[in-house]
Amino acid sequence: MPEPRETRLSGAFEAYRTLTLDAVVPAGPDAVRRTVRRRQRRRVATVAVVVAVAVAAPVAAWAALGRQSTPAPVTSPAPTASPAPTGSPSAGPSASPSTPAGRIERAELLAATVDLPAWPAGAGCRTRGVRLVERTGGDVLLSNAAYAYGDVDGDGVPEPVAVVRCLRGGSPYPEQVVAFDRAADGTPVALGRVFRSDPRRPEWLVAFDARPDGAVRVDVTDRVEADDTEPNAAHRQTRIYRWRDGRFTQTGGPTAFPAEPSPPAPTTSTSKPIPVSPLFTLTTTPVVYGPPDADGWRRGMTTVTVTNVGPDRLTDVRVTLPDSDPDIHEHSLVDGCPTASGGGGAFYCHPGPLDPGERITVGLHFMRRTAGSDHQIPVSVERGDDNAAVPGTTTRGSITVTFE
Amino acid sequence: MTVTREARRDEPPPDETTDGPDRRQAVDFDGLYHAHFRSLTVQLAAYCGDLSQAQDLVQEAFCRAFARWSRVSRYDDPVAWVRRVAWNLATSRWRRLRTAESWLHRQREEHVPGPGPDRVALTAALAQLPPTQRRAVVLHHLADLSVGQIAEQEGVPEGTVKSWLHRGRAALAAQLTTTNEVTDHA
Repeated sequence: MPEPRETRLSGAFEAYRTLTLDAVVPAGPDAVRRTVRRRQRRRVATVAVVVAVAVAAPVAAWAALGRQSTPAPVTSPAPTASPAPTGSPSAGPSASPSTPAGRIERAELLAATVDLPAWPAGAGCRTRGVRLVERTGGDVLLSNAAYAYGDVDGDGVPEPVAVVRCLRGGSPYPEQVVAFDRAADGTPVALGRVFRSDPRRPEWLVAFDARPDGAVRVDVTDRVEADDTEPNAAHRQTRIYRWRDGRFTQTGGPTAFPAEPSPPAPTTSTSKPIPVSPLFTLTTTPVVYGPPDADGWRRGMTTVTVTNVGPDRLTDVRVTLPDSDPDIHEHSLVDGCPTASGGGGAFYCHPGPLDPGERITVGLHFMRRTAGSDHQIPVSVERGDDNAAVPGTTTRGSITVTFE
Repeated sequence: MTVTREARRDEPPPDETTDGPDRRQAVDFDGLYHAHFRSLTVQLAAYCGDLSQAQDLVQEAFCRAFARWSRVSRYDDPVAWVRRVAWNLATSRWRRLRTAESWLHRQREEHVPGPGPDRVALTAALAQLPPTQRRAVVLHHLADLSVGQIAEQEGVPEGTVKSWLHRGRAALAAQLTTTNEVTDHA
Protein backbone atom coordinates (compact mmCIF):
# COMPACT_ATOMS: atom_id res chain seq x y z
CA MET A 1 0.00 0.00 0.00
CA PRO A 2 1.90 3.03 -1.17
CA GLU A 3 -0.19 5.70 0.51
CA PRO A 4 1.35 5.92 3.98
CA ARG A 5 4.84 5.74 2.56
CA GLU A 6 4.04 8.52 0.12
CA THR A 7 2.63 10.74 2.84
CA ARG A 8 5.57 10.03 5.08
CA LEU A 9 8.11 10.89 2.47
CA SER A 10 6.33 14.07 1.50
CA GLY A 11 6.23 15.01 5.15
CA ALA A 12 9.94 14.39 5.53
CA PHE A 13 10.70 16.58 2.53
CA GLU A 14 8.37 19.33 3.72
CA ALA A 15 10.09 19.38 7.09
CA TYR A 16 13.45 19.46 5.35
CA ARG A 17 12.36 22.30 3.12
CA THR A 18 11.04 24.41 5.95
CA LEU A 19 14.03 23.90 8.20
CA THR A 20 16.57 24.44 5.45
CA LEU A 21 14.93 27.53 3.99
CA ASP A 22 15.49 29.25 7.30
CA ALA A 23 19.16 28.43 7.24
CA VAL A 24 19.86 29.75 3.74
CA VAL A 25 21.65 33.09 3.69
CA PRO A 26 21.67 34.48 0.14
CA ALA A 27 24.73 36.51 -0.72
CA GLY A 28 22.40 38.70 -2.75
CA PRO A 29 22.13 39.93 -6.32
CA ASP A 30 24.62 42.71 -5.69
CA ALA A 31 27.26 40.11 -4.96
CA VAL A 32 26.39 38.53 -8.29
CA ARG A 33 26.98 41.85 -10.03
CA ARG A 34 30.30 42.36 -8.31
CA THR A 35 31.53 38.89 -9.24
CA VAL A 36 30.47 39.21 -12.85
CA ARG A 37 32.00 42.68 -13.19
CA ARG A 38 35.26 41.45 -11.73
CA ARG A 39 35.38 38.60 -14.20
CA GLN A 40 34.50 40.83 -17.10
CA ARG A 41 37.31 43.22 -16.23
CA ARG A 42 39.71 40.34 -16.13
CA ARG A 43 38.66 39.20 -19.54
CA VAL A 44 38.20 42.48 -21.29
CA ALA A 45 41.54 42.25 -23.02
CA THR A 46 40.57 39.10 -24.84
CA VAL A 47 36.98 39.84 -25.64
CA ALA A 48 37.61 40.67 -29.26
CA VAL A 49 39.33 37.35 -29.77
CA VAL A 50 36.56 35.53 -27.98
CA VAL A 51 33.94 36.88 -30.32
CA ALA A 52 35.90 36.02 -33.42
CA VAL A 53 36.59 32.50 -32.26
CA ALA A 54 33.09 31.85 -31.06
CA VAL A 55 31.76 32.46 -34.53
CA ALA A 56 34.50 30.82 -36.47
CA ALA A 57 35.74 27.94 -34.36
CA PRO A 58 33.09 25.33 -35.15
CA VAL A 59 33.59 25.85 -38.85
CA ALA A 60 37.32 25.92 -38.66
CA ALA A 61 37.58 22.95 -36.38
CA TRP A 62 35.37 20.87 -38.57
CA ALA A 63 37.85 21.23 -41.38
CA ALA A 64 39.90 18.12 -41.93
CA LEU A 65 42.59 17.85 -39.39
CA GLY A 66 45.48 17.43 -41.74
CA ARG A 67 47.86 14.70 -40.83
CA GLN A 68 51.38 15.93 -41.09
CA SER A 69 54.30 13.67 -41.54
CA THR A 70 56.59 16.14 -39.85
CA PRO A 71 56.11 17.77 -36.50
CA ALA A 72 55.24 21.05 -38.15
CA PRO A 73 52.21 22.71 -36.66
CA VAL A 74 48.85 22.29 -38.26
CA THR A 75 48.93 24.54 -41.26
CA SER A 76 45.36 24.06 -42.27
CA PRO A 77 44.35 26.68 -44.79
CA ALA A 78 41.20 27.40 -42.83
CA PRO A 79 41.33 31.17 -42.67
CA THR A 80 40.04 31.38 -39.14
CA ALA A 81 42.43 28.91 -37.66
CA SER A 82 44.47 31.48 -35.89
CA PRO A 83 42.82 32.61 -32.70
CA ALA A 84 46.22 34.00 -31.96
CA PRO A 85 47.01 34.64 -28.38
CA THR A 86 46.55 38.34 -28.47
CA GLY A 87 45.82 40.08 -25.26
CA SER A 88 47.31 39.17 -21.98
CA PRO A 89 47.75 35.50 -21.34
CA SER A 90 45.67 36.13 -18.23
CA ALA A 91 47.57 33.34 -16.63
CA GLY A 92 45.87 31.51 -13.81
CA PRO A 93 43.14 33.85 -12.70
CA SER A 94 43.38 34.39 -9.02
CA ALA A 95 39.71 33.78 -8.48
CA SER A 96 38.65 32.68 -5.07
CA PRO A 97 38.13 28.95 -4.86
CA SER A 98 34.38 29.16 -5.00
CA THR A 99 34.23 31.26 -8.13
CA PRO A 100 35.50 29.43 -11.18
CA ALA A 101 36.01 32.13 -13.76
CA GLY A 102 34.74 32.18 -17.33
CA ARG A 103 35.76 30.46 -20.49
CA ILE A 104 39.33 29.22 -20.81
CA GLU A 105 41.04 31.07 -23.61
CA ARG A 106 43.56 29.38 -25.79
CA ALA A 107 46.38 31.57 -24.58
CA GLU A 108 45.61 30.58 -21.02
CA LEU A 109 45.71 26.92 -21.94
CA LEU A 110 49.07 27.36 -23.62
CA ALA A 111 50.42 29.13 -20.57
CA ALA A 112 49.28 26.43 -18.19
CA THR A 113 50.79 23.14 -17.15
CA VAL A 114 48.27 20.33 -17.33
CA ASP A 115 47.97 16.64 -16.62
CA LEU A 116 46.68 14.82 -19.67
CA PRO A 117 44.79 11.53 -19.95
CA ALA A 118 47.06 8.60 -20.69
CA TRP A 119 48.62 8.23 -24.09
CA PRO A 120 48.55 4.86 -25.82
CA ALA A 121 51.39 2.58 -24.83
CA GLY A 122 54.68 3.53 -26.37
CA ALA A 123 53.68 7.07 -27.31
CA GLY A 124 56.69 8.56 -25.60
CA CYS A 125 54.97 11.66 -24.28
CA ARG A 126 54.43 12.52 -20.67
CA THR A 127 51.01 12.86 -19.15
CA ARG A 128 51.83 14.79 -15.99
CA GLY A 129 52.81 18.43 -15.89
CA VAL A 130 52.64 18.90 -19.64
CA ARG A 131 53.16 22.28 -21.19
CA LEU A 132 51.15 22.37 -24.41
CA VAL A 133 52.82 24.10 -27.33
CA GLU A 134 51.53 25.64 -30.48
CA ARG A 135 54.46 25.03 -32.76
CA THR A 136 57.75 23.88 -31.38
CA GLY A 137 59.46 23.77 -28.05
CA GLY A 138 57.55 20.90 -26.51
CA ASP A 139 56.39 17.35 -26.98
CA VAL A 140 52.67 17.89 -27.06
CA LEU A 141 51.01 20.09 -29.60
CA LEU A 142 47.70 21.82 -28.95
CA SER A 143 46.08 21.76 -32.34
CA ASN A 144 45.20 25.06 -33.85
CA ALA A 145 42.57 24.00 -36.33
CA ALA A 146 41.11 21.20 -34.28
CA TYR A 147 40.11 23.41 -31.43
CA ALA A 148 36.54 24.27 -30.52
CA TYR A 149 34.26 25.26 -27.67
CA GLY A 150 31.18 23.52 -26.34
CA ASP A 151 29.47 23.49 -22.97
CA VAL A 152 30.23 19.83 -22.42
CA ASP A 153 29.36 19.70 -18.73
CA GLY A 154 26.33 21.95 -19.03
CA ASP A 155 27.60 24.47 -16.51
CA GLY A 156 26.78 27.46 -18.67
CA VAL A 157 30.41 28.13 -19.63
CA PRO A 158 31.78 26.57 -22.84
CA GLU A 159 34.83 24.37 -22.40
CA PRO A 160 37.63 24.12 -24.93
CA VAL A 161 37.81 20.76 -26.67
CA ALA A 162 40.93 20.17 -28.68
CA VAL A 163 43.16 17.67 -30.33
CA VAL A 164 46.47 17.24 -28.56
CA ARG A 165 49.15 15.42 -30.47
CA CYS A 166 52.23 13.69 -29.16
CA LEU A 167 55.10 14.77 -31.38
CA ARG A 168 57.51 12.12 -30.21
CA GLY A 169 57.87 9.00 -32.23
CA GLY A 170 56.67 8.92 -35.78
CA SER A 171 53.69 9.44 -37.98
CA PRO A 172 50.86 8.85 -37.54
CA TYR A 173 51.31 10.70 -34.28
CA PRO A 174 49.31 9.60 -31.25
CA GLU A 175 46.39 11.94 -30.80
CA GLN A 176 43.73 12.59 -28.22
CA VAL A 177 40.64 14.72 -28.19
CA VAL A 178 40.57 16.29 -24.75
CA ALA A 179 38.16 18.69 -23.06
CA PHE A 180 39.54 21.20 -20.57
CA ASP A 181 37.88 22.88 -17.65
CA ARG A 182 38.79 24.96 -14.66
CA ALA A 183 39.78 23.38 -11.38
CA ALA A 184 38.39 24.80 -8.20
CA ASP A 185 41.22 27.31 -8.05
CA GLY A 186 40.55 28.48 -11.59
CA THR A 187 43.53 26.87 -13.29
CA PRO A 188 42.89 24.85 -16.46
CA VAL A 189 42.81 21.09 -16.10
CA ALA A 190 41.96 18.28 -18.47
CA LEU A 191 38.33 17.40 -17.86
CA GLY A 192 38.36 14.17 -19.79
CA ARG A 193 39.23 12.39 -22.96
CA VAL A 194 36.74 12.07 -25.77
CA PHE A 195 38.84 9.88 -28.02
CA ARG A 196 42.38 8.76 -28.56
CA SER A 197 44.15 6.99 -31.34
CA ASP A 198 45.68 3.67 -30.51
CA PRO A 199 48.01 1.64 -32.68
CA ARG A 200 46.46 -1.57 -31.41
CA ARG A 201 43.13 -0.45 -32.70
CA PRO A 202 43.45 1.08 -36.11
CA GLU A 203 41.26 4.14 -35.77
CA TRP A 204 42.48 7.60 -36.52
CA LEU A 205 40.97 11.02 -36.24
CA VAL A 206 39.74 12.69 -39.37
CA ALA A 207 37.80 15.59 -37.99
CA PHE A 208 36.00 16.80 -34.93
CA ASP A 209 33.69 19.50 -33.68
CA ALA A 210 32.36 20.57 -30.33
CA ARG A 211 28.81 21.77 -30.55
CA PRO A 212 27.46 24.54 -28.33
CA ASP A 213 25.12 22.06 -26.65
CA GLY A 214 28.12 20.09 -25.42
CA ALA A 215 28.05 17.17 -27.85
CA VAL A 216 31.43 16.36 -29.33
CA ARG A 217 31.48 14.95 -32.81
CA VAL A 218 34.44 12.88 -33.86
CA ASP A 219 35.11 11.45 -37.31
CA VAL A 220 37.45 8.52 -37.45
CA THR A 221 38.90 6.34 -40.15
CA ASP A 222 40.35 2.88 -40.02
CA ARG A 223 43.03 3.53 -42.57
CA VAL A 224 45.57 6.25 -43.08
CA GLU A 225 46.21 6.91 -46.72
CA ALA A 226 49.80 7.38 -47.65
CA ASP A 227 49.00 10.39 -49.79
CA ASP A 228 47.06 12.14 -47.03
CA THR A 229 43.79 12.05 -48.92
CA GLU A 230 40.61 11.94 -46.93
CA PRO A 231 39.14 8.50 -46.41
CA ASN A 232 36.01 7.59 -48.33
CA ALA A 233 32.70 6.87 -46.66
CA ALA A 234 33.41 3.19 -46.19
CA HIS A 235 36.38 4.09 -44.05
CA ARG A 236 34.97 7.02 -42.21
CA GLN A 237 32.57 7.05 -39.29
CA THR A 238 30.99 9.84 -37.30
CA ARG A 239 30.61 9.33 -33.59
CA ILE A 240 28.97 11.57 -31.03
CA TYR A 241 30.16 11.78 -27.45
CA ARG A 242 28.70 13.46 -24.42
CA TRP A 243 29.98 14.10 -20.94
CA ARG A 244 27.99 11.88 -18.59
CA ASP A 245 28.70 10.98 -15.01
CA GLY A 246 32.28 12.04 -15.05
CA ARG A 247 33.40 10.68 -18.39
CA PHE A 248 32.76 10.98 -22.08
CA THR A 249 30.35 8.38 -23.34
CA GLN A 250 29.52 7.69 -26.93
CA THR A 251 25.89 8.55 -27.55
CA GLY A 252 25.65 8.29 -31.31
CA GLY A 253 27.16 6.69 -34.37
CA PRO A 254 28.79 3.31 -34.84
CA THR A 255 31.22 2.16 -32.17
CA ALA A 256 33.63 0.27 -34.37
CA PHE A 257 34.49 -0.50 -37.92
CA PRO A 258 33.33 -3.84 -39.22
CA ALA A 259 35.90 -6.49 -38.51
CA GLU A 260 38.14 -7.17 -41.47
CA PRO A 261 37.01 -4.26 -43.62
CA SER A 262 37.12 -5.48 -47.21
CA PRO A 263 40.14 -7.73 -46.78
CA PRO A 264 42.59 -8.15 -49.59
CA ALA A 265 41.04 -11.36 -50.90
CA PRO A 266 40.52 -14.27 -48.54
CA THR A 267 43.97 -15.66 -48.58
CA THR A 268 44.29 -18.84 -46.63
CA SER A 269 44.48 -17.94 -43.01
CA THR A 270 48.03 -16.73 -42.99
CA SER A 271 47.50 -13.72 -40.76
CA LYS A 272 44.72 -14.43 -38.34
CA PRO A 273 45.54 -11.67 -35.91
CA ILE A 274 43.41 -12.89 -33.07
CA PRO A 275 43.49 -16.02 -30.93
CA VAL A 276 40.87 -18.52 -31.97
CA SER A 277 40.12 -20.30 -28.73
CA PRO A 278 37.43 -18.46 -26.78
CA LEU A 279 38.40 -16.36 -23.79
CA PHE A 280 35.06 -16.56 -22.04
CA THR A 281 32.01 -18.60 -21.33
CA LEU A 282 28.79 -16.72 -20.78
CA THR A 283 25.57 -17.92 -19.15
CA THR A 284 22.41 -16.01 -18.34
CA THR A 285 19.27 -16.48 -16.29
CA PRO A 286 15.91 -15.66 -17.87
CA VAL A 287 14.17 -12.34 -17.39
CA VAL A 288 10.70 -13.02 -16.06
CA TYR A 289 8.55 -9.92 -16.22
CA GLY A 290 6.05 -9.57 -13.44
CA PRO A 291 2.68 -7.86 -13.68
CA PRO A 292 2.78 -4.08 -14.18
CA ASP A 293 3.92 -2.02 -11.20
CA ALA A 294 1.85 0.88 -9.95
CA ASP A 295 3.57 3.09 -12.51
CA GLY A 296 2.54 0.82 -15.37
CA TRP A 297 5.95 -0.74 -16.02
CA ARG A 298 6.72 -4.44 -15.86
CA ARG A 299 10.09 -5.24 -14.39
CA GLY A 300 12.42 -8.17 -14.42
CA MET A 301 16.10 -8.96 -14.15
CA THR A 302 18.76 -11.33 -15.34
CA THR A 303 22.14 -12.36 -14.08
CA VAL A 304 24.90 -12.74 -16.60
CA THR A 305 27.78 -14.93 -15.50
CA VAL A 306 31.11 -14.64 -17.26
CA THR A 307 34.03 -17.00 -16.74
CA ASN A 308 37.57 -16.41 -17.94
CA VAL A 309 38.45 -19.70 -19.61
CA GLY A 310 41.60 -18.37 -21.22
CA PRO A 311 45.12 -18.62 -19.86
CA ASP A 312 45.64 -14.93 -19.02
CA ARG A 313 44.48 -12.45 -16.49
CA LEU A 314 42.16 -10.02 -18.28
CA THR A 315 42.35 -6.54 -16.87
CA ASP A 316 39.48 -5.12 -18.86
CA VAL A 317 36.41 -7.22 -19.48
CA ARG A 318 33.40 -5.69 -21.17
CA VAL A 319 29.85 -7.00 -21.17
CA THR A 320 27.86 -5.48 -24.02
CA LEU A 321 24.11 -5.28 -24.03
CA PRO A 322 22.70 -3.83 -27.26
CA ASP A 323 19.61 -1.65 -26.90
CA SER A 324 16.64 -3.93 -27.34
CA ASP A 325 13.49 -1.88 -27.38
CA PRO A 326 10.83 -2.45 -26.05
CA ASP A 327 12.85 -4.16 -23.35
CA ILE A 328 14.44 -1.18 -21.67
CA HIS A 329 17.55 -1.80 -19.65
CA GLU A 330 17.58 0.24 -16.48
CA HIS A 331 21.02 1.76 -16.51
CA SER A 332 20.70 2.95 -12.97
CA LEU A 333 20.23 -0.55 -11.64
CA VAL A 334 23.32 -2.45 -12.50
CA ASP A 335 24.87 -4.84 -10.05
CA GLY A 336 28.50 -5.78 -10.32
CA CYS A 337 29.65 -3.06 -12.71
CA PRO A 338 31.97 -0.56 -11.08
CA THR A 339 32.30 1.08 -14.46
CA ALA A 340 29.53 1.24 -16.99
CA SER A 341 28.51 3.41 -19.85
CA GLY A 342 25.66 3.66 -22.27
CA GLY A 343 25.09 5.16 -25.65
CA GLY A 344 25.64 4.47 -29.28
CA GLY A 345 23.01 1.77 -29.23
CA ALA A 346 24.35 -0.33 -26.40
CA PHE A 347 25.13 -0.50 -22.72
CA TYR A 348 28.62 -1.49 -21.61
CA CYS A 349 29.53 -2.90 -18.25
CA HIS A 350 33.11 -3.30 -17.10
CA PRO A 351 32.95 -5.68 -14.16
CA GLY A 352 36.65 -5.46 -13.43
CA PRO A 353 39.67 -7.71 -13.94
CA LEU A 354 39.21 -11.43 -14.24
CA ASP A 355 41.87 -14.02 -13.43
CA PRO A 356 42.05 -17.31 -15.34
CA GLY A 357 39.21 -19.51 -14.16
CA GLU A 358 37.58 -16.67 -12.28
CA ARG A 359 33.88 -16.06 -12.66
CA ILE A 360 31.94 -12.86 -12.22
CA THR A 361 28.21 -12.22 -12.17
CA VAL A 362 26.46 -9.08 -13.30
CA GLY A 363 22.84 -8.19 -12.57
CA LEU A 364 20.91 -6.37 -15.26
CA HIS A 365 17.41 -5.02 -14.74
CA PHE A 366 14.83 -4.50 -17.43
CA MET A 367 11.56 -2.68 -17.67
CA ARG A 368 8.90 -2.90 -20.30
CA ARG A 369 5.58 -1.26 -20.91
CA THR A 370 3.62 -4.00 -22.64
CA ALA A 371 3.44 -7.75 -22.39
CA GLY A 372 4.64 -9.80 -25.36
CA SER A 373 5.67 -13.23 -26.41
CA ASP A 374 8.79 -14.97 -25.17
CA HIS A 375 11.91 -13.90 -26.96
CA GLN A 376 15.67 -13.49 -26.67
CA ILE A 377 17.89 -10.48 -26.04
CA PRO A 378 21.48 -10.69 -27.28
CA VAL A 379 24.37 -10.08 -24.90
CA SER A 380 28.08 -10.52 -25.35
CA VAL A 381 31.33 -10.32 -23.47
CA GLU A 382 34.67 -9.35 -24.86
CA ARG A 383 38.05 -8.20 -23.86
CA GLY A 384 37.93 -4.43 -23.49
CA ASP A 385 40.50 -1.87 -24.32
CA ASP A 386 39.70 1.61 -23.16
CA ASN A 387 36.10 1.87 -24.30
CA ALA A 388 36.55 -0.49 -27.22
CA ALA A 389 36.45 -4.22 -27.72
CA VAL A 390 39.51 -6.13 -28.75
CA PRO A 391 38.42 -7.67 -32.05
CA GLY A 392 38.05 -11.42 -32.09
CA THR A 393 37.63 -11.83 -28.35
CA THR A 394 33.83 -11.78 -28.29
CA THR A 395 31.73 -14.55 -26.82
CA ARG A 396 28.03 -14.20 -27.59
CA GLY A 397 25.02 -15.33 -25.66
CA SER A 398 21.40 -14.46 -25.21
CA ILE A 399 18.94 -13.74 -22.47
CA THR A 400 15.56 -15.46 -22.53
CA VAL A 401 12.63 -13.17 -21.79
CA THR A 402 9.33 -14.53 -20.53
CA PHE A 403 6.22 -13.14 -18.89
CA GLU A 404 4.54 -14.25 -15.70
CA MET B 1 1.17 6.59 -6.63
CA THR B 2 3.90 7.98 -8.81
CA VAL B 3 1.49 9.72 -11.05
CA THR B 4 2.87 12.96 -12.26
CA ARG B 5 2.08 15.97 -10.23
CA GLU B 6 1.76 18.73 -12.68
CA ALA B 7 4.48 21.24 -12.72
CA ARG B 8 4.09 23.72 -9.95
CA ARG B 9 7.20 25.36 -11.24
CA ASP B 10 9.91 26.23 -8.90
CA GLU B 11 8.46 27.08 -5.57
CA PRO B 12 9.27 30.50 -4.20
CA PRO B 13 9.99 30.78 -0.53
CA PRO B 14 6.78 31.26 1.36
CA ASP B 15 7.44 34.85 2.24
CA GLU B 16 8.05 35.95 -1.33
CA THR B 17 5.52 37.15 -3.78
CA THR B 18 4.33 34.66 -6.32
CA ASP B 19 6.52 33.82 -9.25
CA GLY B 20 3.64 33.28 -11.60
CA PRO B 21 4.35 36.06 -14.07
CA ASP B 22 7.98 35.21 -14.56
CA ARG B 23 7.69 35.37 -18.30
CA ARG B 24 7.08 39.07 -18.45
CA GLN B 25 8.91 40.68 -21.30
CA ALA B 26 11.92 41.50 -19.26
CA VAL B 27 12.36 39.43 -16.20
CA ASP B 28 13.85 41.41 -13.37
CA PHE B 29 17.10 39.79 -12.26
CA ASP B 30 16.83 40.83 -8.64
CA GLY B 31 13.26 39.63 -8.48
CA LEU B 32 14.20 36.29 -9.91
CA TYR B 33 17.13 35.96 -7.56
CA HIS B 34 15.12 36.71 -4.47
CA ALA B 35 12.23 34.52 -5.54
CA HIS B 36 14.33 31.47 -6.22
CA PHE B 37 17.68 31.58 -4.51
CA ARG B 38 16.53 29.93 -1.36
CA SER B 39 14.37 27.24 -2.90
CA LEU B 40 17.13 26.29 -5.34
CA THR B 41 19.62 26.18 -2.50
CA VAL B 42 17.39 23.84 -0.56
CA GLN B 43 17.30 21.43 -3.50
CA LEU B 44 21.03 21.48 -4.00
CA ALA B 45 21.64 21.14 -0.28
CA ALA B 46 19.54 18.00 -0.24
CA TYR B 47 21.56 16.63 -3.12
CA CYS B 48 25.02 17.61 -1.88
CA GLY B 49 24.33 17.18 1.78
CA ASP B 50 26.06 20.49 2.34
CA LEU B 51 24.28 23.78 2.70
CA SER B 52 27.20 26.14 2.25
CA GLN B 53 28.27 24.36 -0.88
CA ALA B 54 24.72 24.50 -2.20
CA GLN B 55 24.69 28.25 -1.62
CA ASP B 56 27.92 28.63 -3.56
CA LEU B 57 26.62 26.55 -6.43
CA VAL B 58 23.40 28.53 -6.72
CA GLN B 59 25.23 31.82 -6.41
CA GLU B 60 27.57 30.72 -9.18
CA ALA B 61 24.62 29.70 -11.37
CA PHE B 62 23.09 33.15 -10.88
CA CYS B 63 26.43 34.74 -11.79
CA ARG B 64 26.43 32.81 -15.03
CA ALA B 65 22.85 33.82 -15.70
CA PHE B 66 23.65 37.46 -15.02
CA ALA B 67 26.64 37.39 -17.35
CA ARG B 68 24.27 36.47 -20.20
CA TRP B 69 21.19 38.06 -18.81
CA SER B 70 20.00 39.67 -22.01
CA ARG B 71 19.60 36.20 -23.47
CA VAL B 72 18.58 34.21 -20.42
CA SER B 73 15.92 36.74 -19.42
CA ARG B 74 14.12 36.14 -22.68
CA TYR B 75 13.83 32.40 -22.16
CA ASP B 76 10.39 31.03 -21.42
CA ASP B 77 11.58 29.85 -18.08
CA PRO B 78 14.82 31.50 -16.94
CA VAL B 79 14.64 29.70 -13.62
CA ALA B 80 14.91 26.38 -15.42
CA TRP B 81 18.17 27.60 -16.94
CA VAL B 82 19.56 28.65 -13.59
CA ARG B 83 18.45 25.41 -12.01
CA ARG B 84 19.99 23.28 -14.71
CA VAL B 85 23.29 25.10 -14.49
CA ALA B 86 23.34 24.81 -10.72
CA TRP B 87 22.63 21.09 -10.90
CA ASN B 88 25.20 20.55 -13.57
CA LEU B 89 27.74 22.36 -11.44
CA ALA B 90 26.80 20.14 -8.56
CA THR B 91 27.00 16.91 -10.45
CA SER B 92 30.10 17.50 -12.47
CA ARG B 93 32.30 19.53 -10.24
CA TRP B 94 31.15 19.26 -6.78
CA ARG B 95 33.84 16.88 -5.72
CA ARG B 96 36.55 19.19 -6.90
CA LEU B 97 34.94 22.21 -5.32
CA ARG B 98 34.40 20.29 -2.19
CA THR B 99 38.07 19.67 -1.58
CA ALA B 100 38.92 23.27 -2.19
CA GLU B 101 36.27 24.47 0.13
CA SER B 102 36.52 22.07 2.96
CA TRP B 103 37.34 24.98 5.18
CA LEU B 104 33.84 26.23 4.53
CA HIS B 105 32.50 23.11 6.15
CA ARG B 106 34.02 24.03 9.44
CA GLN B 107 32.77 27.57 9.15
CA ARG B 108 29.30 26.44 8.38
CA GLU B 109 29.19 24.17 11.35
CA GLU B 110 29.82 27.13 13.56
CA HIS B 111 27.37 29.49 11.93
CA VAL B 112 24.32 27.54 10.90
CA PRO B 113 21.68 27.00 13.53
CA GLY B 114 21.12 23.44 14.63
CA PRO B 115 19.91 21.49 11.64
CA GLY B 116 17.33 19.52 13.55
CA PRO B 117 16.82 15.78 13.51
CA ASP B 118 14.49 15.84 10.50
CA ARG B 119 17.11 17.38 8.30
CA VAL B 120 19.83 15.15 9.58
CA ALA B 121 17.75 12.04 9.02
CA LEU B 122 16.73 12.95 5.49
CA THR B 123 20.25 14.05 4.57
CA ALA B 124 21.67 10.78 5.83
CA ALA B 125 19.03 8.75 4.00
CA LEU B 126 19.56 10.68 0.76
CA ALA B 127 23.30 10.14 0.98
CA GLN B 128 22.69 6.40 0.72
CA LEU B 129 21.04 6.71 -2.69
CA PRO B 130 22.93 6.49 -5.96
CA PRO B 131 23.32 9.98 -7.44
CA THR B 132 20.79 9.48 -10.22
CA GLN B 133 18.08 8.36 -7.85
CA ARG B 134 18.96 11.12 -5.41
CA ARG B 135 18.69 13.73 -8.15
CA ALA B 136 15.33 12.42 -9.30
CA VAL B 137 13.88 12.24 -5.82
CA VAL B 138 15.08 15.71 -4.84
CA LEU B 139 13.92 17.28 -8.09
CA HIS B 140 10.55 15.67 -7.67
CA HIS B 141 9.98 16.42 -4.00
CA LEU B 142 11.81 19.69 -3.50
CA ALA B 143 11.80 21.27 -6.94
CA ASP B 144 8.31 19.92 -7.63
CA LEU B 145 9.29 18.95 -11.14
CA SER B 146 7.17 16.49 -13.07
CA VAL B 147 8.64 13.27 -14.43
CA GLY B 148 8.73 14.87 -17.86
CA GLN B 149 10.59 17.92 -16.62
CA ILE B 150 13.14 15.81 -14.79
CA ALA B 151 13.63 13.71 -17.92
CA GLU B 152 14.26 16.87 -19.88
CA GLN B 153 16.72 18.29 -17.37
CA GLU B 154 18.62 15.02 -17.09
CA GLY B 155 18.45 14.17 -20.77
CA VAL B 156 17.05 10.68 -20.22
CA PRO B 157 13.76 8.96 -21.15
CA GLU B 158 10.81 9.37 -18.82
CA GLY B 159 10.84 5.65 -18.13
CA THR B 160 14.31 5.99 -16.69
CA VAL B 161 13.20 8.80 -14.41
CA LYS B 162 10.24 6.76 -13.24
CA SER B 163 12.55 3.92 -12.45
CA TRP B 164 14.90 6.21 -10.52
CA LEU B 165 11.99 7.64 -8.56
CA HIS B 166 10.52 4.24 -7.89
CA ARG B 167 13.75 2.80 -6.53
CA GLY B 168 14.86 5.98 -4.82
CA ARG B 169 11.68 6.45 -2.89
CA ALA B 170 11.48 2.84 -1.85
CA ALA B 171 15.04 2.97 -0.54
CA LEU B 172 14.44 6.31 1.14
CA ALA B 173 11.30 5.12 2.88
CA ALA B 174 13.13 2.06 4.13
CA GLN B 175 16.03 4.19 5.34
CA LEU B 176 13.80 6.63 7.16
CA THR B 177 11.89 3.83 8.83
CA THR B 178 15.09 2.24 10.05
CA THR B 179 16.41 5.55 11.28
CA ASN B 180 13.26 6.23 13.20
CA GLU B 181 13.22 2.82 14.78
CA VAL B 182 16.75 3.32 15.91
CA THR B 183 15.92 6.72 17.30
CA ASP B 184 12.79 5.48 19.01
CA HIS B 185 14.60 2.74 20.83
CA ALA B 186 17.56 4.85 21.71
